Amino acid sequence: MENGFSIGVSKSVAATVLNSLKSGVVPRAGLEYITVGRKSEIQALLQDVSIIEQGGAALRFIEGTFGSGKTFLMHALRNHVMEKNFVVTDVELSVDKRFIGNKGQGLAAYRELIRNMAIHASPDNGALQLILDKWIGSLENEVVQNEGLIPGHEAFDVRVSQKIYKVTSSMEERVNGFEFGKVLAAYYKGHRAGDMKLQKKAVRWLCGEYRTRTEAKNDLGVNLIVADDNWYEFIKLFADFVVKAGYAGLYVCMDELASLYEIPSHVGREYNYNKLLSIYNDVLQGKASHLGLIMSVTKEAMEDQAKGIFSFEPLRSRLADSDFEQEGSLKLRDLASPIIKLTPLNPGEMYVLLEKLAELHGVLYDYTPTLEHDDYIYFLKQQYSKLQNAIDSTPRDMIRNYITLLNLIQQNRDVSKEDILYAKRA
Amino acid sequence: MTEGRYNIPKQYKVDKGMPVDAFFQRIDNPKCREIFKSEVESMIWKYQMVDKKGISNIAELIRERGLSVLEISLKSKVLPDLLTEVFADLLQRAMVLVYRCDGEMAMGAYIPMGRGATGRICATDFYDYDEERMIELLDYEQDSDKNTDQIHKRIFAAIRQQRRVVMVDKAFEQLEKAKGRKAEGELLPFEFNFDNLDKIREDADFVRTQLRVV
Repeated sequence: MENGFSIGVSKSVAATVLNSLKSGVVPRAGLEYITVGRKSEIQALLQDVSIIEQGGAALRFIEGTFGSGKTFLMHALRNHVMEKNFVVTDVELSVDKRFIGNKGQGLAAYRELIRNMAIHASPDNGALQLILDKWIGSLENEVVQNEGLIPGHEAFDVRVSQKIYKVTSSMEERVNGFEFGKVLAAYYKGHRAGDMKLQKKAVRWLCGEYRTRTEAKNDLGVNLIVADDNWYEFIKLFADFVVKAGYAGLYVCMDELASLYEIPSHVGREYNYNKLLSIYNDVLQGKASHLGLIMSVTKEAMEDQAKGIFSFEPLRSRLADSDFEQEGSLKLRDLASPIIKLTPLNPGEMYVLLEKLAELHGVLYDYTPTLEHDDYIYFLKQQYSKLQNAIDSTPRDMIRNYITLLNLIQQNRDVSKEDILYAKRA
Repeated sequence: MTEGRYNIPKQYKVDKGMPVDAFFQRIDNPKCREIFKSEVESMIWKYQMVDKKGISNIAELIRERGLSVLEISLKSKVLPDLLTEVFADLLQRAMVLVYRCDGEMAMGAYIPMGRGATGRICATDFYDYDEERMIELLDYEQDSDKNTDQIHKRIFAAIRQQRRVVMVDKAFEQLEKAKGRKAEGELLPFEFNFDNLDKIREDADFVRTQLRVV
């Protein structure tokens, strides 16, 4: 087996991958080392990334059964675009966080998105202030380098201010852009004057934490706040702004779209589907720029005609498979369609995944994995045989069992791997 | 195991089989005694392989350090691992054991490691007589310039390999039986040939390079 991937993978990344998978969660790092069987899907998503980098926008739904790798794929892309100088953010939709709701669920989702903003230098979350500071810092640098002025010079602040206002005023044409720009300017003002309170107020406003317009008016002089019905406009503004601040764009991951499907009231679902429709139209019609949205959804939550996204006719007519895809005997998939349907990994792909995990285990514990072809086949057969139907199986439990097996083999060198894997098991 | 295979000057056949009773007297462990009493039908000290030349009597031959080959017929199957451990404990000498039961055979080996040390033990499970699986106790090409220790180590390694093969085969058989599926394809709808797997590996490597930002 060509195992060049292990070259360059650090122990910490190997530990993150194996520990996360053992716990049944998707690792935050190292996903590229264990991505198997998703070539077409990744290609399609990378094509989107290229469009976003060039000023476009893209929205994709990742559809698949539980445990089929939706979150995995989203995180793999998230990590990739973050390395490509994107600002990334994610939210897991739930009862409390939706597109819109009568208890501020839309705003809660927005707040989570802003809280979870991440960049290469701050890969986990909480990058908003860093982005703002980097923006100001880069403009200050421009003034120093291009105009020969140094901080403290009487013209320095004026020139930086001019550049700041040039950026903020360029956003005024956008919906809510005037207020957004004004708050950015307030942040800069606080920075220049050393007024931390003012900066905090600006950040609070950007995070959607002002409850009333009056309060925002008093603190920042803007007569607008982020709310349930307008938060998406601010996401677009952020996408626009982060590019001006030196990033490639904004990439938004929304997990568990199925929570919309679980809204008990018909009206509540319709509101959310309607909001989703407006986002979809906006992105596809080119009204957003430098913005990528990727949403994970189960097949049921997407295609159920009674409660799913397809129950909302405007979305169904836009998202449903074309006749060619449905009826083609070759079962060809159009990967340019907004829905990327994840098929479960086939046993061969699982085999290669097991090989890769063994390699990572070897990297983590400094040994050469000893599992052989028969061992992989036996393990797979044994695991698949536990499931009713191999086609509908999910790799999550299988992977957890496998990592336990690797641990046992590595921890018990005095016992042969055959005794651990084969003995009295069938 | 034909006699011809061992027809080399360094090797001597033990003409007289060793009675089970003689061993039985020396077994202290009640569990082992029970196993011997109920499960061992006969035990024959088949061969004694030594490096010293010119040994003329059996008493001297048996005392001589070398490799003993014993054949044990069983009334019913007992774990060869357990039996090998029992024999190793009893005899404390380098040996290869051949177990026979119900038309099947199993093999075990013991390499002593000196006083106080446990030594190395290995045994296969029972398997059908099969020419492909026959372990050559003497391989003229490989063993021509080797002493008994080296031959013993080669046999030990072969038995260890055989142990894996038998274990894997049995596990697969049991798995198929347990699920009532006869055809392999039914359990895993995929052909695990190297071409298919290489294609998947190639695609995964390609994706890795795509996702990695240099």
